[in-house]
Amino acid sequence: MAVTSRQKKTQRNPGRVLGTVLMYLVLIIACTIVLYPLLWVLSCSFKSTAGLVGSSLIPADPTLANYRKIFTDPNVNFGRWFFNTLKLSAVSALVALALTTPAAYAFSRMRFAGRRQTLIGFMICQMFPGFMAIVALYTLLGWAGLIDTHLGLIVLYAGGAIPFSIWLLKGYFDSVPVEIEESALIDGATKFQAFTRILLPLARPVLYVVALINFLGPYAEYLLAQVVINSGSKWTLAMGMRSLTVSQFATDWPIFSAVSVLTALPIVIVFLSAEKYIVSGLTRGAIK
Amino acid sequence: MARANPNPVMAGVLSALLAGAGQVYNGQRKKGVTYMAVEAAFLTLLFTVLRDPLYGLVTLNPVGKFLDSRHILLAGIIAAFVVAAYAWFHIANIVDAARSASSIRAFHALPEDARRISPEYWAPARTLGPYIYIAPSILAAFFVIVIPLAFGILLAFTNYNLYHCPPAGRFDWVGLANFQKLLKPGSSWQNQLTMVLGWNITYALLGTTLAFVSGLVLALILQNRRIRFKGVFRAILMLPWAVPATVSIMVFFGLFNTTFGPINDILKSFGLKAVPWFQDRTWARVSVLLTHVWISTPFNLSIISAALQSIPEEIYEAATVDGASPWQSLAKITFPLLMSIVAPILVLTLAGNFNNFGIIYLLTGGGPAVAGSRGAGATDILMTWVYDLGFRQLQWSTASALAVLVFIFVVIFSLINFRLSGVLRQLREEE
Repeated sequence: MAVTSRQKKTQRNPGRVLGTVLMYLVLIIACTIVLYPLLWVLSCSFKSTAGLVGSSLIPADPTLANYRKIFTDPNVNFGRWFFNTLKLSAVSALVALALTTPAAYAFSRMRFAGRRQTLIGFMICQMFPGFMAIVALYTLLGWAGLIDTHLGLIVLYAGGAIPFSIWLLKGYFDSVPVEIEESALIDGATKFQAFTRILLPLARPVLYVVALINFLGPYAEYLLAQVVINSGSKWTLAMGMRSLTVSQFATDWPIFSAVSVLTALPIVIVFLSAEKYIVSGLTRGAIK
Repeated sequence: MARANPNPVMAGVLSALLAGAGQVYNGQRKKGVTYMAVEAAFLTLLFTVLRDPLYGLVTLNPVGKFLDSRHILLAGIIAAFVVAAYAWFHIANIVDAARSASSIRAFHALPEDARRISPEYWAPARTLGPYIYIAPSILAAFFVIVIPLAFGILLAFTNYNLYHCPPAGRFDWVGLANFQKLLKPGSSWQNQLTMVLGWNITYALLGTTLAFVSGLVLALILQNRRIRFKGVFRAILMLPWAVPATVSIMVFFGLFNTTFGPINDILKSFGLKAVPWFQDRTWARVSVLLTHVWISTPFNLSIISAALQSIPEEIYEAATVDGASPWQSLAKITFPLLMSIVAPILVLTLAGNFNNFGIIYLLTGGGPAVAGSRGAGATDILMTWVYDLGFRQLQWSTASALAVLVFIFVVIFSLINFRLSGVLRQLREEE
């Protein structure tokens, strides 16, 4: 009854109709603003430099030359950049996960001297502006002979991901009931077994989320990469793309567009298919 | 066996003089000998490996195999942390000896034996267990985060710049000179700092607010029962979050470009004038804010949507029954409840935006230039100015001093956030 009467009211009330139209209008404008830049860069990747000017989204003279060029031109080594980036992001994410999962387990399940202080310490670490560390990181890496190596960059990415990952993992572990592990302990399992055989399988969703977030972080990171890496064969996608945009002129723009489309596409697909988990992973601690 | 009637003060004093001595006096022989071994190991290190770095940290003079000022400083920091860790151990050892003594006296049992009786799985007697789990993370964070940060802070008190640049040159301690230079009233540095800080705060506040408002409006619309195709709209509106921010910023660099960018073409087709986006200081700032809102709205949208869904339906129904109009329930129910949920996240993003390096660096590069400045442009925020001072002008020490000032701002922001979110209280309650 209540529903039907509300529906009738909706149809009769002109103010409500106007409100609905307004809301759709806002949504459509917002979607246009969101889509235009994306469609523009997509269309640029099929344009020639000459056909670049203008706001039209449909290339007058569509060409695949830009895509052909980024796979063949030795100066625009997309394949190499992409491989480097994948390697860096994947290894950093796995290292960070391997380091922080046991720590988060201890912080969640065990009580020990210095626990609270360490957790707060990790939180304070995140407040420092990253730049403060860059000079020292550069010196430390130089000392260890890791300048211009991917290993050096992995160390920075994985290490930098530790505080955030521990907090996220700990938050999730806290929400997994402890009773199952306790009964396993009574049955004679060690704590390490309770951790690897019981908690980890139960916490699989958050492990994926942390791995994914730590993968997406380095994927398009520019600042640290630029400081650590010099040689062109070790460049990442972000460095390569930046090199194509710094020239103020239009010559490289279609090439840049092709690179950025191929850079963003896999991430957009991964992100959209995992969005639900990422959002719940990020908001879980904050919204209860 | 434990001594029959140990004196806590005596035990403490003995342990203060020599780690473990008080424990041996209490009758805890094994523990005492272990502690003595730790002290012996530390003293050996102190007079061999740690001596040169510690001397170097105080004087910054080349010493032993440390010739480069940066290496001297780094080695000194690591040595200082070792000393600090030992100091912590030594104090804990004194407290332990005194406590054990009074426990033996009162209960004829050691505190850890008393604790072992309780059937707790997760906090049994003091063991190394938890520390083995956290050690890898702690060590990695120590070398990648803590030491570099300490180095960055200490650089602010040196004269590390183009003229004092290792390996050829060397830098020295200069006390607070860098801070005095930056904060001296009326100086060009101080003028520049005021300008950059003003824009930095404006950018953080305005950017956060605008993205929040646009997220809020869209979330409320998508929440409305009369809207259909929500899934499609939502999927499109979330796209900017899915695209890596670096890519988006570079795309906007092209969109605003005055030679080939389409935004000016669109403005012209509406009969408006072309805008000098990156050449004019106000328009450059507008372009930064627009890009920021485009990138950050989806995050706000998703947080606000999640928060809206957590507000129980019954409250609205009760309000409707009491005769509240939709606008009234929005203003009196939705908004206050929403703010109480998202306020901590909002403050956190505010602090993050304060140092949102990428958007400025990749979009405008801090430009356009400002006459009579110390290198900072109209859209430079503190962090990009710091980067420019360090990597382009090679004024590392000034850059570090500025970074320390930035840190103080961020800490103030974050303290407010901790207050709001009650994280600290929660941690204390867990134990």
